Amino acid sequence: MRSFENKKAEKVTRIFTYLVLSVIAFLIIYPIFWVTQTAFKTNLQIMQAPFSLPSSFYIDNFKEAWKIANFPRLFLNSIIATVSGVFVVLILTALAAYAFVRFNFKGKNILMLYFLLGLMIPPHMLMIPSFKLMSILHLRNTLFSLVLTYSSWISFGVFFLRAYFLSIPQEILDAASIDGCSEFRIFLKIIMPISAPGLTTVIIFHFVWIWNDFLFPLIYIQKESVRTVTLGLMNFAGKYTSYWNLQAASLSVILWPPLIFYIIFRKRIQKGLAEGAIKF
Amino acid sequence: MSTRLLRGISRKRKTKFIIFLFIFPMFVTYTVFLILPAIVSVILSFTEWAGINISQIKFTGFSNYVELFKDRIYWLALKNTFLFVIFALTVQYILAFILAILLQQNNKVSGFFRAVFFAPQVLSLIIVGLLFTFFLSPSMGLVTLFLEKIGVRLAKPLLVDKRIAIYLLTLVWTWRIFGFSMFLLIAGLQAIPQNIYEAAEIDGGRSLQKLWFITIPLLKEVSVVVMILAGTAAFRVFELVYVITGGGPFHATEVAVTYIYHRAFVGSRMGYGSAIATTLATIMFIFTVLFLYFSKAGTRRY
Repeated sequence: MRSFENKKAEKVTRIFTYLVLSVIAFLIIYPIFWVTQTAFKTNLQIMQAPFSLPSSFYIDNFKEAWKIANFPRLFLNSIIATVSGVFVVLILTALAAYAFVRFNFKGKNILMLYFLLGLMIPPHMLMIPSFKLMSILHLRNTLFSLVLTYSSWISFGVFFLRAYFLSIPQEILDAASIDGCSEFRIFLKIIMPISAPGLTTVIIFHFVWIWNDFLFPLIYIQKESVRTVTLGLMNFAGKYTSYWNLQAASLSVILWPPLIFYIIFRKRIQKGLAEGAIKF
Repeated sequence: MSTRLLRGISRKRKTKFIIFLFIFPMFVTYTVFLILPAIVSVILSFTEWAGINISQIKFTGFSNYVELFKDRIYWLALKNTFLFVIFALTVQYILAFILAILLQQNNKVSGFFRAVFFAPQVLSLIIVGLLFTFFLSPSMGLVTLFLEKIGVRLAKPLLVDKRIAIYLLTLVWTWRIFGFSMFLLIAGLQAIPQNIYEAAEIDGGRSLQKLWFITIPLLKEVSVVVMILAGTAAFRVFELVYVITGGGPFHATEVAVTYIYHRAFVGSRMGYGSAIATTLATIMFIFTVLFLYFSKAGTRRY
């Protein structure tokens, strides 16, 4: 009798749990769903019945938004800035982390502390001087200015990779060293392949970080042809405030690529982001 | 003997050279593009400068700080930042904690929910901000329309109501960020050895007791990580506010970083902007250190 009641209570709890979870999931999915379906409606339809589904498959919004916003350019710029940024960060941090693990030298701890300092410096503090620095270097309105700034975001990578490299048995490296392998060869041929999962985590972390950056494009870039996705989107939204149809279309175009990427690689991305934050 | 010694020295030199070669590139980019600007920012906070010509920089001592102290909007922006941080941290931590408990088992159903809750992480704050502008915009926002449909009339339109605008922004922030905290907490929960729970069950522990005496204390370390990551991110909030309200109405949602942006780049006062930035960085630093100190002091008790 008692176990029966227990089971009943358990069942009620479970149903309640799923209900709560579903409501939250709905709150996450609905805004994305709404904006996507709205992109297929005319502005009049949106005003008259904002919640209803589109009656026909109207794609003119996309055509028009595409014409105005130059999406290929925006995506290309973001891809160039992000891929170069991530690549540079990865090389710099992997090399330095290796040296920190492999060698003992004077001032090592102070140097590591110095690199850790970056985590305590909020990016908003860098806005004004970085803006001026890029003006002096005549690099404003270039993607290169962004890559340079991103190449200084190394604190996370270097400490994460250091922890990762430390877990590699030192004997392997020593053996290679005795066999006459140069340090650079050991780094390239042994460390890099073994550390692929750790490097992937760093790549994921920085990719999300740099791709979504808005602050530095906002400060460095005025020219239309150099705009990144976040900046271009913001600009579009500012110009066509009352054209919800066009806004919905442009937002959908920019929102889905990262989401699709996430849906395909979600396990790796989830693991990478959580691992990065915890191990760190 | 002497050749050996020589080889030893040259080897040592070579190692030094290698260390230099491996670390120096990162040292340069980091120093030039991060440390240097940070130092310059502190220096600029003691100057008056429109940001155009370097020769026009005027040293004015502490005058920016004195002005800050009397600046009503600065204090308002700080207050809003604190409200944002406290409210955002509390709401998203509680939500993330409950969901982490519910979804800690590895099975298909919780895998699905986890994947959905985590999804907003890949969207930039600009996208999230624009997305919620549709829902919250004062004149024709969907939330207002929906409330009207079910018969609720708001006294003031959303986001125009000074008292609640900042909290609405916090909720949008939570939408974007809670999945990340949830993930860290799940990882923390799964790291707790199951036999501790089994032992507690044998001793007749009820689930709430287990939660209170085992889960929460053992989750402390991960919780500190979550709090620090989410807290520092909330202190820096910029994009979301910039997109949805731009700091308005009448600075009601102005936060520290939007205020820096407005003063330095819109108002062309680089020195004043730097002073705001410096004080904010100092406040963040003090809070992080204090938080780490007290959370450590708490751990020692267990």
